[in-house]
Amino acid sequence: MNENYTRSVFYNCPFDDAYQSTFEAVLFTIYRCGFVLRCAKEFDDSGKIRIENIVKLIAVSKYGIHDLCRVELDSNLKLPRFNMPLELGIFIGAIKFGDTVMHGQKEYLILDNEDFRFKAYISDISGQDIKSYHSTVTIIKRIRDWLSNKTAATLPSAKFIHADYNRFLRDLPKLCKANKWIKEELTYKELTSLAMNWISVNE
Amino acid sequence: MSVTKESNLLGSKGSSQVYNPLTDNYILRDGISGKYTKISHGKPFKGIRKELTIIQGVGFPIPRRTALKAEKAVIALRNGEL
Repeated sequence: MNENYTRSVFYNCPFDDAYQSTFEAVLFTIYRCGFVLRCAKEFDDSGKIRIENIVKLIAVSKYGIHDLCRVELDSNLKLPRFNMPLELGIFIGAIKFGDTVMHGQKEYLILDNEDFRFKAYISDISGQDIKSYHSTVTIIKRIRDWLSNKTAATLPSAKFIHADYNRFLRDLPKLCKANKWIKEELTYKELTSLAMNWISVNE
Repeated sequence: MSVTKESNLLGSKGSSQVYNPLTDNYILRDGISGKYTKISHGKPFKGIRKELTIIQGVGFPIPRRTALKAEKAVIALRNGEL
């Protein structure tokens, strides 16, 4: 297994405006823990079929973190979003039916923002590693604590990662201004570049 | 003080360097001022301690121009120039 594979974390989450601040905290945490974030945002400009891109990301990632927080019904259509459970299913399928040496060793963490809610809508995943979170601090802690068991590196506690993340957020307007970027309009690649560079010189 | 690129001059005693996998740059941190003063592309500064970094790189292509702009801004911020 190459190092890129064992460092890659597929992140399965909603990509709506309401989730953006949580996503930014997760991005920061994964890089701060020495792992590489892989998510569908990489393919924003691609014309490929989305599911093919998802499968490609899962194939190159040993780890998966699946946030199933967005299960409520859409206010207009009265339907839930099924993308996150679908992608979790593909990930579990890769473990069960993929190459046993490589994909059989994949590991995943399931997150939700309500305790035990999954039992009502996806009870088949009972007995898995499912953690709830209720704030940015707790999602950082859930991810940091889980990843700390996957690395030989000594990681700072979630409290310190959260403090670093808040410093990064305070610095972000200045970093954007220097490049004539607007924080709210940063592309995924711009945000990733800023976060990685910031972490490199502020560890 | 702005960052000098590809300089042969080494830093003062206690200087260190950080590797940025996004840009393949080595960034020299001056031992006295603590500021980032020089950049070497692709080659580490000889005789200068390398700081361990947790950052492992990125799994998808980021345009070099974007990565360099982010690096320049972060260094300027750390150097108190923003």
